[in-house]
Amino acid sequence: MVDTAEAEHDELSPARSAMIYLVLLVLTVATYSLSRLHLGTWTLVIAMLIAIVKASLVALFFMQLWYHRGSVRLAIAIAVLWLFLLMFFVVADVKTRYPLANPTANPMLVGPSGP
Amino acid sequence: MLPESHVQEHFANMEVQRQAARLGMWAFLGTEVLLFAGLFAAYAEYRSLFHETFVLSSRHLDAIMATVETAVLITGSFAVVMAHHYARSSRSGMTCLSLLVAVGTGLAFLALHGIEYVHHFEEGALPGKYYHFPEIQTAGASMFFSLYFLMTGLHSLHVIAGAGVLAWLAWRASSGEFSRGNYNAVEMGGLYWHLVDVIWIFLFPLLYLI
Repeated sequence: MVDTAEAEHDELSPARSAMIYLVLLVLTVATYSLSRLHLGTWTLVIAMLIAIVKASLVALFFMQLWYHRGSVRLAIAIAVLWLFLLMFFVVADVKTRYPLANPTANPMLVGPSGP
Repeated sequence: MLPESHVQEHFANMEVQRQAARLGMWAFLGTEVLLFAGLFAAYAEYRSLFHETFVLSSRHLDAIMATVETAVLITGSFAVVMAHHYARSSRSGMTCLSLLVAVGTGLAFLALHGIEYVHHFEEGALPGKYYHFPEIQTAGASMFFSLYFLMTGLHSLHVIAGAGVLAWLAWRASSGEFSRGNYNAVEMGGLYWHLVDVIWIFLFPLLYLI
């Protein structure tokens, strides 16, 4: 049996993990501060970009995706594909709907103070 | 104890066993992502339908508290990475300690979130028909708080489950079970904890910041 524990040791070096941890904390403070600047539509874009960077750091290094091969990567790629399909068709449905088919058009659903 | 003794008889060696465990864990995490994706899709739909109300309701939430909660969860993830590192280095004491720190961050997160929930209960910012918060009375406000409680509630259930798993691993680590040749359980428990962190990384800006 090849002992891979030795070879894998470098993947979890405490120094690098600590660095990624610090970057994640800085990004957390940054995303909060930027959200207070009222940048209009950019608020959403910036917040989501930072979230994607943070999630990628966690997945790639804390979850070691960077070092995984073959079937594990395939499983993740497929999960992301399903996620994309679900989000895409839900948003496409809402954005292309006949307006009166939306709940906002129904006073029973939104109450007397509707839009 | 030889590392081989932890290999189940149907696996050729520990590396094959570990790869199988990883694949199974990631397939499970994929289903978890899709479970939350349904809620994220609902959020996207209702946010586009009730945009103004969602922005207003979002501003009402305690963003500073949520920032602290995010930092707490990230600290937990870092503690789990260290536990994984120490398990691989056969340092049981430090593995146990790191796992306990992670459990502590989970409990701290739940306590902070509990404070938020109590606040919302007091002011009447509740889901569906129980909504009676006077400050935001526009259409869609009860929908925002329904989604808020569903998403953070489901996430908190995952934090509870994850903290339970980590506490169990800490118990096993305290008896010196994990070592250089046997750390799969710590790695898999860690993966689950990181996923809980990743989901929060998206919930945090969507609910509190935008």
